[in-house]
Amino acid sequence: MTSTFGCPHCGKGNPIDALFCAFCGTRLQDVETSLREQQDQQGGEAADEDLPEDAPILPPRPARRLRGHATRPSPPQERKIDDPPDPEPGSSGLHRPPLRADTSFSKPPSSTEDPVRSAAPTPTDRADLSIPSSSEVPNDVDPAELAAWLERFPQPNPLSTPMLSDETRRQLRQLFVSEVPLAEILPHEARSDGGGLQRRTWIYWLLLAVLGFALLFGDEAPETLPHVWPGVGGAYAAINTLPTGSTVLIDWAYDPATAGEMDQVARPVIEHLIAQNADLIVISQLPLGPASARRLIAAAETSVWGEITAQRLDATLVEGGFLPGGAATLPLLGQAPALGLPVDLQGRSAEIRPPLQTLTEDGPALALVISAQFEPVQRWLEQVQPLNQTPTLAITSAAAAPPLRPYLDSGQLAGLVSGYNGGIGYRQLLLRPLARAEQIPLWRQIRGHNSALIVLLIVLVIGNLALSLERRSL
Amino acid sequence: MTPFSSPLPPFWDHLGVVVGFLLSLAIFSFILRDTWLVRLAQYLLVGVSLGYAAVIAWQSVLWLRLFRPLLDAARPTFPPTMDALWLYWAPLGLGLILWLAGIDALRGSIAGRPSPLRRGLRLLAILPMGILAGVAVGVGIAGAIQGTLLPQFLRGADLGLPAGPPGFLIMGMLTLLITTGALIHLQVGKVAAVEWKLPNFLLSILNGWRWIGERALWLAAGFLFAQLFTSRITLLIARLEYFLFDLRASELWIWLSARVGGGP
Repeated sequence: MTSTFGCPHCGKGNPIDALFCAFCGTRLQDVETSLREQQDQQGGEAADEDLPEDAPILPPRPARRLRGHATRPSPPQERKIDDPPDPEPGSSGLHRPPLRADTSFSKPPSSTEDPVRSAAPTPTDRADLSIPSSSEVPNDVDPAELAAWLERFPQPNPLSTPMLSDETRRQLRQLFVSEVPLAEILPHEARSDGGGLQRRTWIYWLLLAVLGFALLFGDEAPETLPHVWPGVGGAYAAINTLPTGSTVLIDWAYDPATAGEMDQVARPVIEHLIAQNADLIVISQLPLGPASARRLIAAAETSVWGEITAQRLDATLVEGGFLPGGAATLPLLGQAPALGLPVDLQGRSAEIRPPLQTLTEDGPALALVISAQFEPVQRWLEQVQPLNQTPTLAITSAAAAPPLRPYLDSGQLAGLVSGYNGGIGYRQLLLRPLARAEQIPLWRQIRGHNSALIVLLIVLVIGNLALSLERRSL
Repeated sequence: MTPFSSPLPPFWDHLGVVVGFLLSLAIFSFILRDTWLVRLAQYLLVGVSLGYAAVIAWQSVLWLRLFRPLLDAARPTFPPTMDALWLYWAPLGLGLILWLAGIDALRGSIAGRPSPLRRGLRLLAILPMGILAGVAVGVGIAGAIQGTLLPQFLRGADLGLPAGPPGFLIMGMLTLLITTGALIHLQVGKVAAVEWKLPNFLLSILNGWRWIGERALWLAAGFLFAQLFTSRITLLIARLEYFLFDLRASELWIWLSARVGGGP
């Protein structure tokens, strides 16, 4: 695996020997390297116009005192630190002495190492940001020559990269490009330097305690219902206006891992479709999707009709099964459904299953994408909907809704039902009374959410207070 | 009993409840410490998912849509019909080549020059891989243009001019301002006078524009976090409901309670 480091401008990772950032184009090679090389090649006549356009502009002035670091020693000519002359482009008034072979400053750069970083003196452990002081210079170096040679270095610009050791640079690069693996951060270990999320375990236990209390004592109807985002009404209207016996194509894009939320969102919509006597054709691009669909549809059928039979299910449901291939196979459903769905899960073709035949000849009357992520919905809107122009509804988790709002706004989605609140809002529109045994879990969800939001607010307020106090103490 | 009920004896349902309960506890123990229990549960999840996916891939795809149609042909014709060639024989052939090349790659490299057979196999495997990659990229690009870029751009550029409602125009201008501000912030960053030789008032406008975009990004990130929090809390509440209520309503719990409570 190639070593990488982060670009100082955009932070993206680049190979260790890259000259330019592959993402933003910033020149990664140290500008001082080019300055030194050009000065060496041209005998001290480095021109500003030779520098790349994106190189930081470094005013060539003597060192300033930076946070107590030692300043650069004055040359024998007794130049004052505060009135540095700006050298003319293309020429400098100073004679640049050749580097002495017996000093670390004159170490010739090899072809495999950075000339400046290998030739520059290694700063002390305190990460000195200024030019090294005279005490760090070997004794056999002529101070006059050293001062003249140091004059060639431009002053540190606040915007430029500070001079750090190779090891510090490498550590900083690794820090910028590495992602913190959350699984590796053990919850019981709190950082002693004050950084990071401390008291994480306390927050977890507080949340669990509050939720447990809300669930155990939350069997009463809540005073208010949760807010319902736009899109639920459009989804209800699209299904409510379906003629009896319409063919509805469903992309079931969630599996048991997210069933805890998705079942609450999808079930009222499926119940509505069943009540409208729609013919459902269910496909899934997840291996565990068909099983999730089967389980929920059976529960919805029982809820609507009280008791289901094999004949009724056969009449209303076509299980298309697992459709592999991702986005590459979706256009088949739009252009040639007969090829994309030649048989159902039991091996029966369109000649035996009328819904499949309708799908092939006329296309679906409505399309649903039931997904815990936004990517399956986006893929459907990109690959299938432009081909058959079928009205499409998205039934998603709360986390997937924000990236899909623009599609609802542009009219590509006819409706969007998201999150547990979307499921509750949709159920309100159904006007079908629920048994108390079915109502209680919804009430618990509402109370649990309200309690969790209170905990989140408390954590945010305390965290901001702590941060403010910490900043003041600094 | 429904057509969707499990054909397995009830004992397996009870065992499933117990296993689910134990695995949920193992995952929850991550709050205390990252132990071998958490890893075991995670590895089990991955392994079982992969195994199930392999079975589904054979049952729903390979057998149902490839091998069974080939075997069900009353009289195999030679040469095969064009439909059979494109729909069954070509995918079978390409899939076999890719599969064999994959197995060969899993065997690892052999010191020295590989045999002509292995070299030929790896060269042949370029064809199905190329088809896979080419189709995926082509479909992806075409879909992104026709399904996202074009419709979203047209919607964003629709300011309701000349006779649209004022609110429409204001929303459109605001969208344009925030979108471009976010773009400036992400691509340019803070503009310094020493870098860009622009008049001060232009620099102020540019930095102000960037400031708006940066704040809009933070606002969007906060909104995304809030929705993600809602989603995950819903999952957590569903799992807690399982522990606190659904488990107690299961036959296994009732049986255990009766035994522990000294019942029959």
